[in-house]
Amino acid sequence: MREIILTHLFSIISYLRRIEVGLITDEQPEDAETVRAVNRTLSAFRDKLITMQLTEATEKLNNATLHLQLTSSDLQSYLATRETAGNRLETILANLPVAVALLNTLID
Amino acid sequence: MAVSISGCATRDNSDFQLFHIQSAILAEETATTLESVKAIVEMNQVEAIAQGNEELLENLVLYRESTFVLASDSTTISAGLARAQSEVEETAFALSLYSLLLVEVTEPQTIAFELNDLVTTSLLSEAVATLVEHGAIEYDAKITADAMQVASSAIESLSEAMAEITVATANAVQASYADMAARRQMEIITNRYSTDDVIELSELNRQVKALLGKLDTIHDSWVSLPAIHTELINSLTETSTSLTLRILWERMNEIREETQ
Repeated sequence: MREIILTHLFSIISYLRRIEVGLITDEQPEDAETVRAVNRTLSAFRDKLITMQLTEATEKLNNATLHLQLTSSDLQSYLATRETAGNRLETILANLPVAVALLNTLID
Repeated sequence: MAVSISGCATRDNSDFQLFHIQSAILAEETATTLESVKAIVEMNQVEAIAQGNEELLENLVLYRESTFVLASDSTTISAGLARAQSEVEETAFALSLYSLLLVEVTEPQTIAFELNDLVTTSLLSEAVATLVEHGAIEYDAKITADAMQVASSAIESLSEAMAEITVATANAVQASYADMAARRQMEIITNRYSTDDVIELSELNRQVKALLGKLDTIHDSWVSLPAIHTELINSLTETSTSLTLRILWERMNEIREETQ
């Protein structure tokens, strides 16, 4: 909705500017001043909408960033766990042949 | 006979590294672009104030009363952009930390051990099979995929928020451009179409067009980020532990055949 209003505002403002320039060229300064006053209000409204857009998007970005940072910290603690598990696994695998050899001698 | 099986768990990390590099570049580029947008918005303000001419301050809303009771102005837009920019820098940090961790989590894990002729290979195969059965070797693919799945929604909202910021930023550029172009146009009329003013206006036009084009590209890149992330999750599952174990198992069988 806001997007649509903004798009219209942009085109109306530039249209009014063209009219204003035309009025100045035609030496009708008073009418040009009236058009300018209307454009001022419209530009203020336009700026207000853009500011709202920016503020909301920034807030959303803030939340998403926070979320991603939380995931990262979860991942970080998982990394630590994995390292411990990895070390344990490597020890098991390294000792496996010896254990199997021992088992073999028992069978023999 | 000594056989060593190493690098069985090797997974290709190049996709993760690419994701890390691309997202870091994208976030940095966005922050830089926001910086140039901020410069244009501020230039719009400074220029109008410096000219100090009420006539030329038109349409630049520093403070005005209207039926809408608006307090919004270029200063507010500029402040909003500054805030967005610092958020983008935070995002860059969060993204690079996340992707760096992913690279680490998916690091090739080398399982190396030696077989010698004293060992009955079938026994060793069975031992490995038992380990597999009890999940001892299934160390990380599932958890990495889960972590990525959790991060998916964050990546999605990140992409959405960044897409919105780039749209709002493009609007801020257009608004500032419209203000500056209107002032320049007025100068062109009052100076009776001096060449310098015309050149300045077309230069401004060129700059703004380039900036809008860049914002468009950045917008698209942020929009495509979740898809890249999903692709990464899929590639992880494809090259997951089960594949690693299959390779390990096949190697074990080969060795058994060789030694029998």
